[in-house]
Amino acid sequence: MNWADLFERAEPHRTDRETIRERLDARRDAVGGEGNGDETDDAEDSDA
Amino acid sequence: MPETPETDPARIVADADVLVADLLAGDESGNPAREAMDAIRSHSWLELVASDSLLDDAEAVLADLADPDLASAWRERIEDLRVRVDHPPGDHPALASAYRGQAAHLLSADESLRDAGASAALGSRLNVSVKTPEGFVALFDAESLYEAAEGGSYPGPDRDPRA
Repeated sequence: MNWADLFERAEPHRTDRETIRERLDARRDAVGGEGNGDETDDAEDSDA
Repeated sequence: MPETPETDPARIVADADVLVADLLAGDESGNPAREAMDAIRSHSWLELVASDSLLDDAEAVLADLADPDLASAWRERIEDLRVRVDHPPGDHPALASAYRGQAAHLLSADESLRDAGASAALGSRLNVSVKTPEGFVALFDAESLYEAAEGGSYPGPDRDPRA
């Protein structure tokens, strides 16, 4: 499926950016909530 | 003092909110995420860097806000576009993708990635410019970026952003 078709299929599901950000934050809190602590430090520590 | 890796001006990370907004936040008019992603899709020498975790986040949010079939179709298409990087579980997917992929640009609406504290923390390890999609679109200069990344005269867009 090309991008044009994807955009056409997505159109009925149009959503504001704030809702998208909220859902992403909720997912990351749920997935990474157990002992991950500060996200920036995680990236720093793991790459150290 | 840890080393700051060299970054590639042609490598860009779009956080999962930008990837989802590309599809769900409207068409070209008034959707800076679509405009930013179109810039990437239109130029084969620009590279979208993303880890599996970053794409997993976007796919999950798409499935939640739209439907799983659309999310699956999107994942199949974005796999052709992205340059895959790996990072340890638990790392912030966007930050770690930028670090591991030596990306010069990170697009996100997450204010915590752009505030002074995060910038200071990132500065020692990650030489990446964190921008909103609006900021990226406003500053995007394909001609000068091409000269920095590829050298020579900018030939114009070389890819159909809707293909």
